[in-house]
Amino acid sequence: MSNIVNPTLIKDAEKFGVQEWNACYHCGNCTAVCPLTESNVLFPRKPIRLLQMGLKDKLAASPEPWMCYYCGDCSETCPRDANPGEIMMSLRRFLTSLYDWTGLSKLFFTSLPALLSAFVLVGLVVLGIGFTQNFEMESIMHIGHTFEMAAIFTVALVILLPGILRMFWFSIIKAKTKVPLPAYITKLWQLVLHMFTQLKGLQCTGGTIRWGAHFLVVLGYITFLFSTVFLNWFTTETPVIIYLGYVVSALVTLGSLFFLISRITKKKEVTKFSHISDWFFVIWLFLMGLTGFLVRLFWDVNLLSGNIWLYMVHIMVLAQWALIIVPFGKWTHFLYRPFALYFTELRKAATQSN
Amino acid sequence: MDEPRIGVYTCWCGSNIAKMVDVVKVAEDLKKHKGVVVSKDYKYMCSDPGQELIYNDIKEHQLNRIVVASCSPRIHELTFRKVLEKAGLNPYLFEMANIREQVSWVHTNREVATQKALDLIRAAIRRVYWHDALDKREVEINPASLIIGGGITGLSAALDIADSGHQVFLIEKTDTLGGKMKQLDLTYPYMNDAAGLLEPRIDRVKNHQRITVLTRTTLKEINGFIGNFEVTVNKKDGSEEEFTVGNIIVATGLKTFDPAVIEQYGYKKFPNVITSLEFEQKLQKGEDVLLEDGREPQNVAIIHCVGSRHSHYHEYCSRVCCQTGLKYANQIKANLPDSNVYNIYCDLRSFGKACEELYTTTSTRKSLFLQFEKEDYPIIEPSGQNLQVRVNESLSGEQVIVPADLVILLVGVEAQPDAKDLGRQVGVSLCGNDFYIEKHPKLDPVATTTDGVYIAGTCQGPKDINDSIAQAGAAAVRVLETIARRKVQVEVITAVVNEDLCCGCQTCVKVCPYSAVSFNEEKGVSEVNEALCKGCGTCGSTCPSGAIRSRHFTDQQIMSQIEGIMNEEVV
Amino acid sequence: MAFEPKIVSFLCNWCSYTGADLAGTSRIKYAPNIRVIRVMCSGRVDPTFVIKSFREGADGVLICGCHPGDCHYHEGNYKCLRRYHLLKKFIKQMGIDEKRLQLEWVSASEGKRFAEVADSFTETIKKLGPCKAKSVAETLVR
Repeated sequence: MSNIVNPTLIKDAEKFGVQEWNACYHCGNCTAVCPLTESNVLFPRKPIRLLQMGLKDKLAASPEPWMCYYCGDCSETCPRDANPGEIMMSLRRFLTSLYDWTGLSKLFFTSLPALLSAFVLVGLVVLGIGFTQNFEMESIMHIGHTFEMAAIFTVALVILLPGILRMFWFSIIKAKTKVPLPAYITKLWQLVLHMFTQLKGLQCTGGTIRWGAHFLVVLGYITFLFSTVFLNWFTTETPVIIYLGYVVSALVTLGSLFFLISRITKKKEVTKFSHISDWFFVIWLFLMGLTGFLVRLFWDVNLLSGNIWLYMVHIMVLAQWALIIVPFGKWTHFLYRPFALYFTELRKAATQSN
Repeated sequence: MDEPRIGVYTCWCGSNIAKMVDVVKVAEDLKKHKGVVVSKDYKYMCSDPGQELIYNDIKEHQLNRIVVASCSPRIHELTFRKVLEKAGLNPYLFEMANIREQVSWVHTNREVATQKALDLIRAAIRRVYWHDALDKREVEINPASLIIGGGITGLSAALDIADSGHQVFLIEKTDTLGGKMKQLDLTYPYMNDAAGLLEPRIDRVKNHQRITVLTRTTLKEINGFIGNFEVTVNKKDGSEEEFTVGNIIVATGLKTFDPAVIEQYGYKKFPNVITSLEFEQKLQKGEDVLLEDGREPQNVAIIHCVGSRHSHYHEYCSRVCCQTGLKYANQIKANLPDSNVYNIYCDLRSFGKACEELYTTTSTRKSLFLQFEKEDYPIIEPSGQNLQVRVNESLSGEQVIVPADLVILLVGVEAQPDAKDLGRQVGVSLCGNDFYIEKHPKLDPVATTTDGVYIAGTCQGPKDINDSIAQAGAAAVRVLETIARRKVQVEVITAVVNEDLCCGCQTCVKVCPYSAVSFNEEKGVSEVNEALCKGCGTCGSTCPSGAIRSRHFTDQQIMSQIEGIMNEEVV
Repeated sequence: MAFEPKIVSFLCNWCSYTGADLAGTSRIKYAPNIRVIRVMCSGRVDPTFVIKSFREGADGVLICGCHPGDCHYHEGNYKCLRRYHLLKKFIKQMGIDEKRLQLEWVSASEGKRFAEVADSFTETIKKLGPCKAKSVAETLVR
């Protein structure tokens, strides 16, 4: 692993949102005040130091940026206003782009024109497909559903799985960490736990409401995903499932609205800075929930066929979400964070056995 | 000799003495001592009320001898002597017992310390009985001054004295005036042009009608004492010149540490490893920041604490290097905006006006700061056609490699190599780090224990330009003080020969280091020239007949001290 | 009760006395057996002072001066050194252990060293026990 100091890395990192990167003079107050830092997983000071020195390999191997749940205490405490919380967030974006083998993640995080072009392109393709089907409800729905399945499968196989494997490569293989084989199995439950409950977020200062809202959004989203996409329950006649549809889309809409308003009012430390990827994520989530709710409603009152534009918008939002935000944007944290926690547990097991 | 009427005063010094010495008991016990009329204890004898106590007692009780048991006579002997004078007593009818620096501050058992204090005070009481009234001796001050060293300190002091209307002889051992400052380009923290600050001063000195500048001139010999120093110098053409001055200011400046002894820094081994002074000289000549082969460096590493704060080299901090390193980071970024600058430091010290701000802007905008643990020096290694610095970086806990095309070593400062020899010539001692010792580190940083000789600038210790100039002014004022008074008191504790006892063996003549004793052929006895005698007492202890008396340190006085120490009965 | 020696010490004003003061300002603790007599120069220490000290009952005599070459009066400490060597022989002949007389160079900046010298010389004298010179002399007088 290279330990050659490279100050040009910071110039790359600046585009990911890092601001006063050199203001940090390593007093350590941030790490002292962080509720989630542990004695063998210290952050945010250490990753900030690695970033300042441009030690790319060590940064790629470090799971510390993912251990942070952005309570913002560190930024509030920093005597130099170096904004360690936002640096950690930027590091997450940076790491996401490192794990991505295509380079598109980096492109979309750092170039607004490129990102907008991608959104416009996907939107136009969806419209194009609709056009070829003469905007006919049934066939669009059928294509839409097939497309969603194909997209999710492809994205998972081609982008997300390699991403996880690359994270594994950087943090375990290349770092030459010798993990005892049983640990891979015994620690697996941590992966599942953190992915679906985000329990650690509760330890954040004043985090209960935030955790609650986030949990509900995740719950709504996952149920939404499974019921409409995998199980294709949208066209069901069963009342319970129809109500479920309303409930989950309402959860997603209201939950994401809560986060959107937080980002607009900037009351908390965590919402003071919003990168473009943060805006797109929360707005598209909101749009997904809203259009989903409305499509459900219009379908139930038989208005949808006459308002195919609504369904087109819904599909466009879903396509943009699935093809841009999920593989290359902020969505990736859903996978990377729990895997980072899992790998951290593996590393702990490695040091314990040595 | 009249009946002794001795006043004894034991000082509490707040709790400094009283904590370890039972001063009340001591004062009480000494009341019974033969010859003691008054024995008191008081909280602060050196204070106004303390001094008044002595004054009033002298008047009231017709005291004719005073003993004060308190701090070291080196601190307050003069203070109390003045009190006696004011009260009409000869100031030499006074003795002090040191029960603070040499008793209460260095022992831990109160009983034992009190006993020791009593011994020492009894010795003082017995001694003071044998004290004689000594007359003050005053000599005229020669208003000319000698300044050794033509750097910014010497120049500033010369101007201060000459502008007040007095003659100055300024000798400088090199060809030019300006010292180390002449080699500087910009000064921190405001990045002023050094030449712009220095050259006007040099011009004024060269053209000043009251300053005689002698370059390539060194000191050969100094004889005499304050007010009347006879100076002989070796001039550049090989001849000697003599002149008389009343005061001397030593402003001989500093030397930089030679980093060749630190092998891992590769100085003189690898190309492109240079010292701060060498870098400064390049900038001063207006050269671009370039490598030896003419390329522009992409990476510049500045290493702090070279030769300072290390048990193998110098343990002290050289004070000016950290700010210089910050200055260079800024200058390099201005000269080569696309380069990467690294400041590799161990503890950053950037005090003084605007210096903290300089550090903040440099560390946030200009340079990457990497820290190594004290004494865990980084290693400079070749890397292709360039270099790299291997550092155990303590902020990250990792060993990292810093690419460096150019390495600047911020070398520490040292005393001049001839400091010891010059010190002997002028009568100034060296401290453990070979810098000149001041009379008192807090209260008297420019005076020395030799009256009439002052030290200023970096020869006294590492410091920057503004502090050097401040010290130059301080020394100049002290010199002007003595010139204004026109006379100065000189040593009274000289030797005197009792012609009746002298057998003419001339042993004393041979031992006097000042040739103050001569043999009077006519009378067949030795004679002391009191103007030359410094009062060392060597003759007094040599004379087999006891004919030479060392005033104020007579055999009788010292013998009585021995008796006072050894005899516990109250006489 | 343990033997506590009494040691008479002659310190020169410019170097060793200042060094002893420095030990004080630095609060360095040392053995309390030293009794200091200040002289301007170690060259002032007359051999009769040393004899007188033993005669009065001192268990040891310690003379401190400036390091060679650093004497404030140039050569006084060399004179002291010469006398010291002769004195050592002399007191031996008088029946006083020559280890009871010691000459040390202590500079003005050597506070710690002064304390060390005081401690080690006190230890030496403690091992030698009380000096019998005074009591023997008194029996002779009677």
